[in-house]
Amino acid sequence: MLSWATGAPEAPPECAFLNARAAELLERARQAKGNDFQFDRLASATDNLLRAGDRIFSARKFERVDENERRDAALLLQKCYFRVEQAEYFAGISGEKESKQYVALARSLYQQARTAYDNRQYDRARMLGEASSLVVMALENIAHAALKIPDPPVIK
Amino acid sequence: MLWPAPASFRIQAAIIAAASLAVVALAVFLVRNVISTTEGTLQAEARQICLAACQKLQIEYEDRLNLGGDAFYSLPLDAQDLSLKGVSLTVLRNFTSIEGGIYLTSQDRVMGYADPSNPAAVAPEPQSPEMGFIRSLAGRAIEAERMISRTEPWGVGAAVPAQSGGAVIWTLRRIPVGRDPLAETGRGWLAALVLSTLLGMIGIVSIWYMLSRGVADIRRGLHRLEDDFTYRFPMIPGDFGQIAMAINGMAERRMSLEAELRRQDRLAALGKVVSGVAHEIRNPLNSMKLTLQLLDRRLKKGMPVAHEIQESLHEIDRLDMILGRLLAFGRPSMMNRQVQNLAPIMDQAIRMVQDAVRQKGIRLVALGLRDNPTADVDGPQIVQVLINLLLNAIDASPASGTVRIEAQRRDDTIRILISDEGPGIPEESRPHVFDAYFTTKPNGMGLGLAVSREIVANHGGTLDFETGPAGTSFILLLPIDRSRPL
Repeated sequence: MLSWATGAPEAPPECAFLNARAAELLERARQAKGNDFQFDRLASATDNLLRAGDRIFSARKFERVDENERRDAALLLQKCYFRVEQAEYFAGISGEKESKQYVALARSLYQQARTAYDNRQYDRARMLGEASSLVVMALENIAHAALKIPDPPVIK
Repeated sequence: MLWPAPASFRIQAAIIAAASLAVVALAVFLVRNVISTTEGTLQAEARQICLAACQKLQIEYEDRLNLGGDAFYSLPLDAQDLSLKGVSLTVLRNFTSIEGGIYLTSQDRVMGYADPSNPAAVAPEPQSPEMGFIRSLAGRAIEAERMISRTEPWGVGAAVPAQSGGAVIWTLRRIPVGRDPLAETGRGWLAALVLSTLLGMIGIVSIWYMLSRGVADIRRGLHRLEDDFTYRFPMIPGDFGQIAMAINGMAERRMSLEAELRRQDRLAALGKVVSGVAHEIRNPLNSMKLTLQLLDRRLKKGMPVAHEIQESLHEIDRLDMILGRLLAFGRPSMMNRQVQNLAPIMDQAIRMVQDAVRQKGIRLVALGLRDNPTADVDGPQIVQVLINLLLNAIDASPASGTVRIEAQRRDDTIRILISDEGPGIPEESRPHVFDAYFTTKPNGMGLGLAVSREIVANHGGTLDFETGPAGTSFILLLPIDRSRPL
């Protein structure tokens, strides 16, 4: 079990939301055992959220300035921004009650990443950017799970 | 001459109408040219934007595929479509009026279709023109572009192959012609031009109609005028009204002239009648005169009837004189002209009026007789003229006044002036002085001056007068040579 997910007192506030959503999605995946596709998508979304929390937790450790990471961080933030732009679309079709919170969290993480980048904390920026993209990915997977896709025929 | 004669206004109107139509045709051509140029510009711009959108989509699709790792291809197509649509929406949102997606050539299917300007839009149907367009794009070279169709709404598209192969990324911009502001402006100008030309042609037709109607009115009025000369054109507005008024004026003048001619004809006829009457009654009067003379001789022996007989004879003489004048007026004069000295003629006339001069107690002064003026004249007729003029002068002169007769030679003309010291001719009578039967004397016939003027005119001369409060002067001008009348 990830350390931040255990409710350690030093965990960032975003982690509580991610932890709660991950637990909920895991429960929904368990309930969707009969639908392989839905199970797979919800499990992936759970994994995305947990990995996002891990990135946020890890980001706190990176406060150093390393100019060599600047270019990679910039490229990652570009892609991150593009993914955050898609968040609303996926949230709109996901049917999630907390969809707005997912979008807000993705944007907030991107903003934090951008601030870290401006502070030349490129490792931290990369971690927060990845967390932002993972939240959007989770939304995308939840949106996939909302699709009514029949299982492939069973080969006898 | 380049321009037809003014009379052929129909040809002019036809030429103007043809020129107007030519202007419209030229305008249509120009506007179409402008629209075509505008369309070309829009197409070029659309092609550029579509290609840029394609290239951006190509990059982002690849990123998305790599982001998902190998899991993306294991997803069902619907899930893939959803993920790609998220990419398409985000990319195409940055391009105005662009729709697009990815075309899977092996499955003839569009994936990730998005149209940010129309969120409700769905992927093109397999039988739609757009799908045909996408297929066509996919079948062409690496970077392709073409129009969907020339019918509205038409569009421009671009396509590039997906890096992963087996698919083509395509974009499309629809450009409804009717929404193009430049084209609308062009159509507006065209409409305005056509409208103004139509108004111009209506004006031409109106002018044509008014000219035709005006000419027809004038022609109809002239036909009526031929049948009824008392007809007058009614008031017609415009230029044709001025023509009609001019024709009315001409008709009035012609009627006045005809009236004058008729009056003169009546006078001539009257003269003939008077001549006939005078001729018929002259002989009896002569017989009466002879009888009364015989009676007078017999009664001289003692019967006291002489006075009455003398009176009768006097009246008969007067009747005879009147008839003589009537005859002179009505009869065409037979001229017997010869070059002669005018002094004896003037002297004879002066002797003939001596009785009247004595009775009135005035003085008669003759001047210029010693110069022996000569002219080619009928002597007796000129004597008659001079007697008439002298008697009038004597009548007009006050007691103890002076009447002058003066002859002068001026170049080829003899000028004889007869003047009195009378009160002058009243202004209202002056225009009628030479009219026949016009007189202000109680016992006058009104023929003296009329006959005199006719005689002078037959000599090629003139007779005129000057009058005022100090007296009247009659001026007789006679040519010396008959071959050179005045």
